[in-house]
Order: sequence, then C-alpha cells, then structure tokens
Amino acid sequence: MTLPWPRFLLPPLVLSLALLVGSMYVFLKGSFHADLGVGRLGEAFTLANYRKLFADSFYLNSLWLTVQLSAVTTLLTIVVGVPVAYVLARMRSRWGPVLLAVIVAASFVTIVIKVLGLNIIFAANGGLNRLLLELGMIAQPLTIAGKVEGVAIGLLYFTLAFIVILLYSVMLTIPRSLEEAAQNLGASRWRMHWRVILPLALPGIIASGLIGFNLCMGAFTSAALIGAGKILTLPVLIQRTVIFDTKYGMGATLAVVLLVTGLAVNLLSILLVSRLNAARGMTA
Amino acid sequence: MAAVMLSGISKRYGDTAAVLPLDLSVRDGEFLTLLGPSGCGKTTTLRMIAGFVAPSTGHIAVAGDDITGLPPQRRNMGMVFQDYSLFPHLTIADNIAFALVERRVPAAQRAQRVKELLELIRLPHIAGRFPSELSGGQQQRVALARALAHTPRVLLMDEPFGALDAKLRETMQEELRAIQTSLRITTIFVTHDQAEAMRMSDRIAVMNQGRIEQLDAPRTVYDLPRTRFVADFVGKINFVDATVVRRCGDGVEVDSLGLRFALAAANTAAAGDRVTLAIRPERLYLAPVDEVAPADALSIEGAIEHIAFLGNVMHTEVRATDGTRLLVESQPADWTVGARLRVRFRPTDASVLTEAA
Ligand SMILES: Nc1ncnc2c1ncn2[C@@H]1O[C@H](COP(=O)(O)OP(=O)(O)OP(=O)(O)O)[C@@H](O)[C@H]1O
Ligand SMILES: [Mg+2]
Repeated sequence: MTLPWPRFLLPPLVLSLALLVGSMYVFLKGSFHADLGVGRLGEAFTLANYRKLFADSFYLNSLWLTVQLSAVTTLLTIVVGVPVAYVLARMRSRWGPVLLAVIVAASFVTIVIKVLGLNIIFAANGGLNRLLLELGMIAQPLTIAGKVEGVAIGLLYFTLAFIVILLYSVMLTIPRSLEEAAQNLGASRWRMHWRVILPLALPGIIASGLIGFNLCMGAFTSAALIGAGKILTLPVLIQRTVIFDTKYGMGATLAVVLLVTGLAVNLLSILLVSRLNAARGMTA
Repeated sequence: MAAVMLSGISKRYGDTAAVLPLDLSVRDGEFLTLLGPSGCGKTTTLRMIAGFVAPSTGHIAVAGDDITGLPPQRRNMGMVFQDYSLFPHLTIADNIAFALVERRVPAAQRAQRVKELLELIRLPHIAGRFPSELSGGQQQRVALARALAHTPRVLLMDEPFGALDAKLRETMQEELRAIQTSLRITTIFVTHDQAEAMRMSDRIAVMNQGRIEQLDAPRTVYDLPRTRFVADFVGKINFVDATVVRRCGDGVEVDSLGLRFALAAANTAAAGDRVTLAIRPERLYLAPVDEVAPADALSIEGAIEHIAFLGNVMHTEVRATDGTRLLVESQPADWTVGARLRVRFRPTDASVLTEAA
C-alpha cells in the first residue's frame, strides 16, 4: 500500500509560491534599487539594500525572530494538533462531524476577531487572570500585549484550525486495521502509536507543519496587534518600512529575504520527506 | 496452542443483535471454520475472541483461562486480516518480527525466527522488501508468518483469501492447511465460501443471523444438514415434504412423494408431524421407466422439465407425478426435455431436517 505522501507536499509549495512569489513580484524588482526618499526609487541597479540588511543586526534579529517564532509556534501547533486530529479521525460518535465542522468554521474566523478574543481572555482583570491569581499560581496577571509569548499564542490560534484539518486528513489515511494488527501482535496503545501511527503520519505531519510554518512566517495581523510595536517580526517590519518610512526598496528587500528563507525551509523539508520515503521503499 | 471455549457469548449493537448468545468449544489444534452468509455475525464473533469487540454477555476462555476482560495485546493470539494489514513503513522482516520486538526477544533470535518463518511460507528472499513491493499472494503469506511469529495460542483468520483470484486461493488454502497441520495450532477461520470451508476444516460452524445452526465435520454438514438453512447454504439440495407415519428405532417411517419408507432421524418428530426431507441432487439417479431398480432403492416417475449442461455434470429438473420438482445432478447423458423417466434414490441418502416444515 502506497500513500500519496509526495502529493501532500505540493500544497505547501504551491501556497508559498502563490503567497510569496506572486504577490511580491513587483517588490522583487524594487529590492535592487536604492531608496531616494518619499517612495522614489533610484534608476541604477544596486545591491546596496541587501548589503545594508546583512550588515545591520536590527534586520538580522528580526529575521531570526521571525524564523524562531514560526518554528516554535509550528512545533507547538503540531503537538496540540496531532492528538486532536487523531481523536477526531477515529471518533465513531455522531459528534465527530460536528466537532470537525466547528473547527472548520473556526478556521474561517478572521484573526482580528480571534485576537480580540485572546485579549479578553488575557485581560488583566479578566476571568483567567483572576482565577490564577486567586489560586496563587501567578503573582502578576498574565498579559500577552507586547510579548513574544503573546504573539506565539496568537500565531498558534491563527494556524491551529488549519493544521488540525490537515492532520485530520492525514490520520484518515491510516487504516484502523493497522492499529488492530499492532495490538494483536502485543503492542500496547502507547507502543502502537509509537511504532505505527507516528511513523506513518510523519510525512503528513511534516507537510502540515510546513503549511503552518508558512502561515506563521507571513502572519502580519496577530504579530502587529499583539506585538503592539514591540515584537518586530519581518512582516511587521516590512509594513513599517513601506508605510511609515516609505522605503519601498528596503521593504522589497526584506520581503525577498522572507520569501527566500521560507522557500529554503520548504525545500529542505521536502528533501527530508523524500529521503524518509525512499528509506521506506515508497517511490514518489 | 490451546482449546477455546465460548460460553453464552453475544453482542448487541443498540437494537440489533449481531451475535445471539452462543456456546462454542474449539478443540486444541483444531481447524474450525465459521461459515455463513454476509452479516450473520462471523466477524463479530472472531473479533470478540481477538479482543477487539467486547461481548455483551458471556465468557471466553483459552486453555481454561478466562480472557474475557483482557485487552487484545495480552491475549497472545495471531490474527490474519482480510486486507493483510501489513505495516507499509516496515520491511517484511520487520513486519514479521513486530510481535517479537514487543516481547523483547533479542535481535539474534528474532533474525533466526524471521528466517524460519520466511522458509515456512517459502519466500526466503524477500526479507528486505517492503509490503508495497509484494504481490497479493505474497502479502497474504507474510501476514500469516507475522501472525505466527510469536507462536500464538490461537490463530484467527477473517476471510484471508477473499481478495485473491480463484487459482491462487486454492493454492493458499492448501498451503495454509499444510502449515496448520504441521504446527497443530488451534485455528478459527472465517469465510462465506462453503467450498473453502469444506476443503480446509476439521469442523464447520454454520452461522445464520447470529446463531450457530450446526457444528459438525464438513462431511456431516454436507450429508446430514440439520436445518433448511444449512442444507441450502452448503451446496444445492432438494427439499421434499413428508409426513411421519410412525417412529421406528432411531428413525422414522415417512410418507413422501407417494412412497412410504424409513430413514434415520436425529429429531423428535412424532407420528403425524409434517417434516422436510433434504436430499442432494447427486444422490438422485435418472433411470428409464421400465428399468428394474435395485432392492434398496426407491423410485418415482416423472418428466424432464429442464436440462442444463455444465461440462463435467448435467443438471436435470424433473417434475414428479405428484407435482414435486427435483433437481438431479448426473454424468452428462442423452436425455431430452419432456422425456418420461424414473428418479431413483436410497432412503439413507435423505435426511430429516430438525425444524418443523
Ligand atoms: N460496529 C457495529 N455497529 C453496529 N452494527 C454492527 C457493527 N458491527 C457489525 N454490526 C452488525 O452486526 C451484524 C453482524 O456483522 P458481522 O460483521 O459480524 O457479519 P459477518 O458475518 O462478518 O458478515 P460478512 O460476511 O459480510 O463479513 C451485521 O448485521 C452488522 O450490520
Ligand atoms: Mg465479516
């Protein structure tokens, strides 16, 4: 039985291309021209923007923060999403489809509304903080505004529904009879997950993780709204460079670097999965 | 290897009863087949034994130990699934060694055992391949080897050959039976194919609507079916109405087809009861009207209504003078539709069904 894993890897690639390459084609050109102020670009072809970017730790830190934040958030999302997707896929009760529908609906809700919800949950005098304070589990109210952790929570909230839906379809491709075979041969539930479910789902998990990573890398709204100007991820920085500083050339350069970094991570992961599949005798 | 006892086992799903309370005792080393039409509860019964379905009532014991509450992984059984269910991410060797790894068998011993099993299924060269690189028949053999690796107490198989073509199926049936006989492993086999059940089993449990209707050796199930369902499900058969005249010894004397004769009957039919006789088409003989019958044979007159030529045999439908239609299976002969003839049979070849007519 061959699962069409390589096909799972196409969506992340296509998505990255559509999101990054398509919409930023204009910027691509702009990145090779110097900013002359008030939005005008120089005529001459130059690598000055790139030189500046890679010499300035401000920009490099922002790039590193974006990659780190996206990677950590994606990992968290996968850790939360895999069990949810598994349970949903194996659910026999008629509440299964209802729950799935709720999650699909949640993925349609704009991140602006979700951030609003997060702000209410984490309000200094909100229910959650009052409860934790009263239980003595925290000394200060937990807040998310202007904090990296807050942005991570926002990004997780943003991608979780998509990831769960993707992982759900991955779990559906694993026949239940394989679980029974493993149990029949003496594997406990835990061992069965370790030896059968996880290895079989791994390529799909990586592909879903890639989509989550791409979504995080390009996420502007939650980073801007929760970060409150203190957490400068690349998308936020690009917006500031373009809108506040009207430096279209530098903005474009940042966009290109974001694009190339994203693509590099995608390509590396695809390579990894093909290796994984080749090792299992599954040809693409 | 061990005997398996089911006592009062049943399974309900909401309002539907998948399996009605049944008792079944599988002997040590026996090849027992659960045979029946789709939806009769074969799979449910097998899955209760494997531990994948919790019985609604009853107990299951293996070699005297009650295992009703044990999870599947602690039952020490080997199961072969209809779709093979080999692990696609593991090599054939790793598939076969799966249960051995769970039992912490040292690597060297594992390798030795895998080698033995690959020889048993006569595929010694495929250890390093993946399931997707094998044919259906090869995957089936590997599934069997994997189920046997940990020397389970019982081997369970749910329609394992359902997906194979007729020729391969026959080969696999013979191989399985040979392996089972050499290992003397208690085997419970599920199929809806009566020929398959006949060919392989020590005993057959014929199931219908969640019940076991008859549990006997293949020969007995075929020759002396107890119920109309069993008679009908296992091969072709003629049903003939009869009235019991009186009981005599172990059997009854009946009035049927305008004849009066005695035959063995396990049931308690009394004088005056209406019963059904069952007789196989190949136990009926066609004879010219004027031919003298042997002393132990009975015969009735009739006319041929229909003839079907099937190559090695011929199926002839005869309408007897009393209106009963009889199907006769015989060597191809030169009979023609409409010809008058006599249908002969021995009373000992007919059986009395236990249920009322
Ligand atoms: N999980 C379930 N929920 C509800 N009903 C079920 C379930 N499993 C089986 N049944 C019902 O129980 C009955 C017996 O099913 P079972 O699968 O044991 O039949 P079977 O003899 O194996 O048939 P087949 O030859 O088609 O495999 C059927 O009527 C089936 O619809
Ligand atoms: Mg079945």
